Amino acid sequence: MRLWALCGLAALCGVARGEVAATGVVVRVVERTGGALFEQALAHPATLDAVPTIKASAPLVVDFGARGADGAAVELDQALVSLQHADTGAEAVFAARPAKGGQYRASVAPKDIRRQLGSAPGRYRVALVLGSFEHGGLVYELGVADVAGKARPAPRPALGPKPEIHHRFAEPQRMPNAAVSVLFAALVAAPLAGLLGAWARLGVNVANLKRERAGSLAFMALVSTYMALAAAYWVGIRLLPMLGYTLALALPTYLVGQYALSRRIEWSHE
Amino acid sequence: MSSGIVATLARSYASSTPQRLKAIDAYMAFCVAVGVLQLAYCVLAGTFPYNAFLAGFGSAVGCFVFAASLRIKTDPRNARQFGGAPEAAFAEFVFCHIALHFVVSHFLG
Repeated sequence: MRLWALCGLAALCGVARGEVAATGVVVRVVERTGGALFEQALAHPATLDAVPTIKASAPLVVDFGARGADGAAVELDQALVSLQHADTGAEAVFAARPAKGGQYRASVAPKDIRRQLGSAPGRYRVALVLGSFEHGGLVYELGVADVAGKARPAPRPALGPKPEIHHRFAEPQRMPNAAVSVLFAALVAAPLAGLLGAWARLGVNVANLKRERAGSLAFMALVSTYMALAAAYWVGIRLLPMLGYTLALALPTYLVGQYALSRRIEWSHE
Repeated sequence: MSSGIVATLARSYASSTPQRLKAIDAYMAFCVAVGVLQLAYCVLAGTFPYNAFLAGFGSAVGCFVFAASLRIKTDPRNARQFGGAPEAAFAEFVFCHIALHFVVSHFLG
């Protein structure tokens, strides 16, 4: 409605001053392949003799120019093609583009109308709306044209909650049979028996510990404490307390180990 | 032919290798056996939980490497190259094990 008010104002200016005239108006319906299904040249105020049909493969093309009262070509500030639905009154407006030789061209396809009005086939009143700040304006009713297509209802926004999202979490890992795990635990522990047996066969023993009993036992106890600390960390102790205990044990372990191993070096050289 | 080579190798090993090195070799064989068994379990039953497998297998590999280092340093034939006492190498061995098993217990999860 606002647009028509502006066009009306331009038209009134034109009526009042009547200084812009449309020239070389040619209305065509052209196949995309190039063939013209409908073509008619018009001179204001003549209208179309027939009703062309605008299809997706055959858009409406309007070529025109403009001249002022002095007959000279005018550079338009407003060059529009208006299509108004005969039944609903809905209007779609398309700007024409400058072409060669001071002419203008507007091309209108059903998809262009759909962008503005939605799917609305039917009969439309076609008009040329020209305007110039210097020379005034003109609204030239060209005639009527049919726009082909299927009427589709405009999509209505569905307001409401979206469907519930159902998270699909990762499936829990398939664990082997407990018997398999126990069997392999026993198998992994079995080489320890083999190691102890091999050491026994080799004659590995703790007889030499008697030569430096206190230091050796203390050193082994402190190393065992470290291993117990590692096991306790796995079970429950947190990192920082564990590091504190490790630090506390470090100096005694170093000193005791240094003493015990130095004594062993001494009596091994005896 | 191959059985003769193996037998000769075994006799030479038994006669020329000090008792201390044989004890370390037995420990290294133990580490290999434990690592292989853990790998076999992983292949058969899957990697879950992967962190536990890495901890156990890493422990076996780490222990093997430290034992190899101890063996090299305590071999009398390498005394000229390394110079230090076997007890010093043992102290390093113990320290490395302590550090390794803290990392392993952290990884066990």
